[in-house]
Amino acid sequence: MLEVWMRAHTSSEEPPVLEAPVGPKASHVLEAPAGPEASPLFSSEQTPSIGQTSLGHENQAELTALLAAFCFFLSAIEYMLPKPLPFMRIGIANLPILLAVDILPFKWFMVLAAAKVVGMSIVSGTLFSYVALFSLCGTMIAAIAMRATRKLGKGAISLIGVSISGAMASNAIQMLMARYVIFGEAAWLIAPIFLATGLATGTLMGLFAEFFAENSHWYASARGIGNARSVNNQNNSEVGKRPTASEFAIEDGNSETEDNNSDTKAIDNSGKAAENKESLRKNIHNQGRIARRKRYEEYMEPWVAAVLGVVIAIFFLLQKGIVVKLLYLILFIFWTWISGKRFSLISTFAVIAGIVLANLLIPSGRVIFKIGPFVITEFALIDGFSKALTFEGLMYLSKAAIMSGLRFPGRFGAIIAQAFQYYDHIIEYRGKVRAKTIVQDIDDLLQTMSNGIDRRTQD
Amino acid sequence: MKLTSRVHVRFLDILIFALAALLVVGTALLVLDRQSGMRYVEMTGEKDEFIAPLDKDADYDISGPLGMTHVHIHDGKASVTESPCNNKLCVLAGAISEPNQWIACLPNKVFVRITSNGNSKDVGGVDASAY
Repeated sequence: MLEVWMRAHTSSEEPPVLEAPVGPKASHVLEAPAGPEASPLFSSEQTPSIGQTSLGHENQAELTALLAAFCFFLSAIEYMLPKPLPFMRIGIANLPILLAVDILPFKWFMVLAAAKVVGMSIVSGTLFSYVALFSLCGTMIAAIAMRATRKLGKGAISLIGVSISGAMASNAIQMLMARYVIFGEAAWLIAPIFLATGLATGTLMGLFAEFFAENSHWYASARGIGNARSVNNQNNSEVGKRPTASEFAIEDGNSETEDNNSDTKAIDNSGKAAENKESLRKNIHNQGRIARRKRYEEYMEPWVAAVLGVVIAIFFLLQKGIVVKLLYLILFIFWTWISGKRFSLISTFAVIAGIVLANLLIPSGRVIFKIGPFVITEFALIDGFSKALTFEGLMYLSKAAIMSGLRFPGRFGAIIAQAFQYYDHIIEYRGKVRAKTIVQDIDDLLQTMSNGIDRRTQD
Repeated sequence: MKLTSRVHVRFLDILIFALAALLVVGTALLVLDRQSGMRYVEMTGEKDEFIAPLDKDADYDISGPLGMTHVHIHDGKASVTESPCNNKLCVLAGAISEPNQWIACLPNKVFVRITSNGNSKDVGGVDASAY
């Protein structure tokens, strides 16, 4: 059983390690069998020779796929982070795209953005829903904005400015879509909050990306510079070696003593035990679902399900009546249940309630009743329900019809398939990614992956 | 491995940040202004009451004792286009768009009024006696 987990140090004086299993949405991918045969890609002994050209990335497609895999991975992490509103995200999944601004040529850069959207939509099963449409428009506009800002700004701009322009462009277009597709006029009410969030997260992502770019050897190699942008690249020999926890602690230069380290390990182990128990319980709970999923996958070809999904989606979108839409939704939920995909009725109700409430804010039609200043009007209510049912209907239809085995034809499909392979490798990665040493840890991970690519292309 | 803490914030970064911040503030002001200035058409019939935003084209049929009075909302203006009454004063009243302007069809007991989010009860407001 594969498990992705991220460790995070909360503070330097208190070293407990948080371990959080990946949320339900991401984990259905993790069920995919990916045994130890994947591990030859990783070799902890291999030390990369810094200065070699681009770590063997002659093939831009490989690099694009690797970065796309990172997008999938980060979106899985993002999924576990709490968010104040369902539509508010930090956007860490955009980090690889931000870093790629200076690495990939324009064509591959856009391929990366598209691969991120399609891949993430397959992982979360939202490919046929509005969520994917929002994601597609937001990501593509952001990619173009980032590239343009970078080109126009030349040396006078860092990744911070590039990131802000991307985040603002993405949030602005998604805002407009929310206005016309889901929330109606009331969307304007959340526009300032939404844009302000974009500014804040865009700035943070930019700062992190800039910091990472300064310090990452992988990034330097990928750019073909041969030297990290940082001043202290004399430490190159350390890179690629998997440092132990204690090494990290000592290098951190903090007052952590050996005792503290052993404490960390103890907590670490108990945490792991708790995690195992938790996952065991979850396993038992999920056995029925997994059995359904296996049966479904036996009888249903991924492409058949996808084509069926598209055809039904067209019929569904043509429906006007609210009762008919509701019946479709119930049917789609049943289909999702049969397919053994994870779903939550509670969050479905919450989303429907949210969309209906937003639409009620602008009264329209016959007054049904008044609660203080709040007027419930017939047309707004029906319109809100209709939009909410369409939204959730497509969501469930998409979940049921998009199977993780779905592969796209052509070169683009090949890149996505490749990215999924890398994704499997990333989640198998045995090194730790901790908040405190996140730059080194991610750099190590990227270098290890790149070395894998290197070795394979040499073989 | 030691990390360098240098992050070069450059001129255009600050400019873009400022522009984005301006956009956020601008949107906030625009939204507040729009909200307070948003106009609605309130249509009261014998049994039912209707509310509709003035900036969205729509047609409503309000039932009264004589039959249906037809209200047409178009281009930010509301007017009564058809009414089962004899004098057709309501139809002749033309289109209204300013807050507190109103059209009444007394025989069919239909009352149409423009309200605004902020000031529906201010000067020139119609009270029950005008009905």
